[in-house]
Amino acid sequence: MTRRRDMAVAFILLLPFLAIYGVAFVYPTIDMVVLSLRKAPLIGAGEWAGLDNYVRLAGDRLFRIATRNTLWFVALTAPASTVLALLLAMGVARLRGWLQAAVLACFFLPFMLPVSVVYLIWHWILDTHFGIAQPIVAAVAGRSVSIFRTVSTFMPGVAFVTVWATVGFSVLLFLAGLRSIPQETSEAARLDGAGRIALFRHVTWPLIWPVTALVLTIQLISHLKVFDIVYLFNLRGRVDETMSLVQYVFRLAFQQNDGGYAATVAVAILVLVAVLSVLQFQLLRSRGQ
Amino acid sequence: MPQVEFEKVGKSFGALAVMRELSFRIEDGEFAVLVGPSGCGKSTLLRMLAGLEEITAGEIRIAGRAVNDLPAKDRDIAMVFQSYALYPHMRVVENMGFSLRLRRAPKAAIAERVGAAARTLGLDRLLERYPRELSGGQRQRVAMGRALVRSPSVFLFDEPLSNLDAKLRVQMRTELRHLHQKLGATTIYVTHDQVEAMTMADRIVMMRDGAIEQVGRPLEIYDRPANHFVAGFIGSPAMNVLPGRIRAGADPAVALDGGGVLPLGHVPSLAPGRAVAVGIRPEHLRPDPDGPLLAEVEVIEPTGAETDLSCRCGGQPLMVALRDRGSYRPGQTLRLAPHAGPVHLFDAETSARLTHPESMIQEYDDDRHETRNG
Amino acid sequence: MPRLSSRLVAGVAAAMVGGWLGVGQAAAQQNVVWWDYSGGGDGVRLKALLARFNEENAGRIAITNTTLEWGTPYSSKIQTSAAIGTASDIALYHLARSSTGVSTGVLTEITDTELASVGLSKDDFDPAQVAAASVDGKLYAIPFDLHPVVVYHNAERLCAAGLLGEDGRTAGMDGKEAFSAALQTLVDNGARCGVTTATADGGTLWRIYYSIFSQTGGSFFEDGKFLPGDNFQKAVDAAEVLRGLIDSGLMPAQTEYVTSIALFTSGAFAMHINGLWELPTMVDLQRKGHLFEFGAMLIPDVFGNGHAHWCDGTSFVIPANAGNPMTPEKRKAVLEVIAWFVRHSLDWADAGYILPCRQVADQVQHLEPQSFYGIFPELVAAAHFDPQTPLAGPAYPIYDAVGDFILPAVNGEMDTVAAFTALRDRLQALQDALK
Ligand SMILES: Nc1ncnc2c1ncn2[C@@H]1O[C@H](COP(=O)(O)OP(=O)(O)O)[C@@H](O)[C@H]1O
Ligand SMILES: [Mg+2]
Repeated sequence: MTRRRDMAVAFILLLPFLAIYGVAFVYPTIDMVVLSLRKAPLIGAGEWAGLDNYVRLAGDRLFRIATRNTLWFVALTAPASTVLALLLAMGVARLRGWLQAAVLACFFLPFMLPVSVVYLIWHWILDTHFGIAQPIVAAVAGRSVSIFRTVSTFMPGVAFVTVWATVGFSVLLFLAGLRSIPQETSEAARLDGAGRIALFRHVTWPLIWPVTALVLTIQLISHLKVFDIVYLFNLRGRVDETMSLVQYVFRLAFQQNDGGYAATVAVAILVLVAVLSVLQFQLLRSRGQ
Repeated sequence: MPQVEFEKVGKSFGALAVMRELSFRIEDGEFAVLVGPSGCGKSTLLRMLAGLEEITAGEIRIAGRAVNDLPAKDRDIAMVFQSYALYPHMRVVENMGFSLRLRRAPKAAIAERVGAAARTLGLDRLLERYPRELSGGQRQRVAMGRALVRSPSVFLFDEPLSNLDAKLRVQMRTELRHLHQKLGATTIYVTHDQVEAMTMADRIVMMRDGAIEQVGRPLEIYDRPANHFVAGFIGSPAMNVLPGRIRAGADPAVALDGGGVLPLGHVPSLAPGRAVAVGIRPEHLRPDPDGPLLAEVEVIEPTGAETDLSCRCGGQPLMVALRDRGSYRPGQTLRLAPHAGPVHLFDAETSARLTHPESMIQEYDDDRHETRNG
Repeated sequence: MPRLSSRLVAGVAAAMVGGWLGVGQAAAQQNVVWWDYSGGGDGVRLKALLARFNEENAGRIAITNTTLEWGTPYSSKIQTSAAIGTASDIALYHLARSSTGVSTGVLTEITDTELASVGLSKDDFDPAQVAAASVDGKLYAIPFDLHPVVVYHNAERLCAAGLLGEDGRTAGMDGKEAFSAALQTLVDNGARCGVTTATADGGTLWRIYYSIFSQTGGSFFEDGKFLPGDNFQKAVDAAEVLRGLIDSGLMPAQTEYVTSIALFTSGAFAMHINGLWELPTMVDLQRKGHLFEFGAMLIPDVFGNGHAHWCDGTSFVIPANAGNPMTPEKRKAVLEVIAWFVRHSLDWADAGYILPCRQVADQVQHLEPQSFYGIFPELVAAAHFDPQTPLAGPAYPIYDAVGDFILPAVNGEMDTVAAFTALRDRLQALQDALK
């Protein structure tokens, strides 16, 4: 009886969300799959094309490049950002009072900046002629390098900026995770003879693992869908060689008015994100315990 | 087993000083209980000894060696936390063997020692479980097991029983004493429960507000509390304290402010008219038609073994613990006399103890409890 | 609240009076919805003109304007809105995008009769402008300005190198070798580099590249084909000119738009290729005393076929709102608005644009700075508009292809022939897919 009523209450509370979810997500998603089976412009019905678009996808060099770029971007950002966030969080956790708040704000501030501002900041810092970081680049590479106009340095560059801009959020998650480890648990380990490294390896790391898995999963999904930052940095540059998957959809749909094929690529992204997320989830869970 | 010495130890958190010059010594193999009200600094003291908290003044020595700058992991101290602080991601067997694993002990040796400790504590069947799959009492045992396995030179316990139910607490008290008798390790046990202190300690260190009020064997403290505060803290129900003045005249006596005259035995030369506080334990009062105290019964609390009477005597509250069941009624007036125990005198201003053993109405054999240590 | 009710009373009273007189004043007023993409300094000038128009025509025509974002979102917005009949009555539009607008059915034709009804004719405009605004001989847009690409120069540096004539014009720069030699001379005379332009910016690079390509006399897009016949070789030759300048260190590689301007205005570089729209930037700097003596000239004639350069223009279009046709009265008002703005384009031209209409251009003598207006007729004569295909225009496939192929070719990261082969094939495939 109460269970029945619970269900009813749950349903009523969820109804607005379900309605919006249906209208704004389920319906467009189904429509997208249908569109991927048509040869159609962005607006307008077009004509039935069967699996033609999918056949085209299989032989599409740009799709392959965009997929490779996107995976490369994820590989460059997710692990590095996670490790960095954990290190920073452990550092911040040692600070106290206003100093901790100030340092935390420093790391979190970039996360609150609009992507366009992040882009402008780093575009200037790394400008080939005036960039204040070019001396460092020159010291490493032997000459000034146009980071965002050189194909091989583009993704590492964008990945670096992305990590800079987003690490603050992961730091926050890790900090919450670290705080949820009771101080006495660490103290017990110290009394048991654990030094800093052993303490991290045997206590902190296993206990923070669920947060690590969360951080990794959030990043995997959000970075597989990367668009804005890549778009801004390769704008008016070598887009072909440096674009991400979502950017390819944007280009097909909005610049080439190729709605049917854009939908096909979008379906491919959906499948890729779903498969990788499930894979990662399984992997992380099995490592958890 | 080493002795542990505290010499003029002080502690402050930033500008906040929570502990003043604190000196005492715990002998080799002794079971010492640190007792005092919440917030008096017991945990802090323990944590300073363990190396978890910086020692901001003075020196702590273990086996004669100053440990102020020795990291926690090198002090060879095991501690059982109030929260148990088990490693949630490790099974019981791993929790208990963790310290040995860190020391790179051979697997076989770890298994053997964990097995032995588990048998001692009755944990054999729980070794494969995770802490979250254990009851509070079982977790408490695992925490003890983890300390046992290490056979450390000093054992520390920080209110280890306070999260257990009453029955288990009594049982664990006994077990802990047994364990100590078996191992003979120097042990410091923190509690705010005077019953635990009385029943378990070889020696009690009584603390208040970051300072030591009295150090002594349990009955010594019971019989000769150094001051008003200790008198009130140790013993249950708490000692009655009645204000009065030393009466002029040949027979030493106190005239109570609330009425009545309490004769004393041999009293040292206290100036007549001096303000004092008279302490009488509730269990040392008996109904006596000739008794000097006149009290009105307010509440009757039978505990089975005792009958506690909550009375009022000349405007002051007065507790009486009687061995018999009697037939008492609220509103009834009783005459009472101190009986079968000492009357304590404290300075009304400093609250320090004034009486000497000779002053007791009933002579007390000081040797009676010495055997306890043997 | 009192304000509102007093207005209400006034309105009701006016309606009653109007009804009584039989001429509904309110009914006669035409409300014209206007979209533009001018957000910067030129936007300020445009808003001032709009306010003036509304003031002068109070009670007759009222314009309500909305400024949208430049680039893809703007043309997409017009396209998608027109498809459902909710686009504006007038829109500012890039001349070069006219053919795209026509192919997607977004624009309506403007007839000679309509032009004449507001006192304009095709002859008021340069033939190149009319051609850019027409598809299949029909006019779809009315020009408001022209903005070609020019070469700015540091007069002191050019003077020192003997490259500035008595008349203030550059000398000895025409011809490929002469141009390189002139730049080398400038470097020898202390300039850090001969010339800067935004070599890392696909959009700008297209304008520079298309200028040079136009000088070969080639045709980028003709009869539905990209770079047919020997046009391919001409395209490669044009790219090689720019690549040669970079290779020989006379022009810096991979330079961003703003950087390329800053390098020039800092004084270290002798020349700068960019649109005429940066003229106000330079003039402002100079007025504040932050800039050396400078001039602007046509891009040197590299191939000896005469001057040529990329050019685009702002124009007015009347969107074709599907299922929501315009009343003749509204259309008349819209044409009036356009004619008014064309006649008042002097204020607008202050933003560094060339006046669109001969009727107005005759008055240029009154403008400052005089010297630049002297070359305006030549600039207009040498104007080459983007190829007439829906693939042209900012943020459209040709611009993308520039970033993907011409940019790496010019900056020496890709073989030029390979780059242009890929560019041609890409654009041809997209063009073929349009049908
Ligand atoms: N980390 C700390 N920072 C500041 N004050 C503390 C800290 N830890 C304990 N204290 C203070 O020190 C005093 C003693 O605390 P504690 O040793 O925990 O008392 P107990 O264990 O006897 O209840 C208390 O007043 C407490 O507020
Ligand atoms: Mg405590």
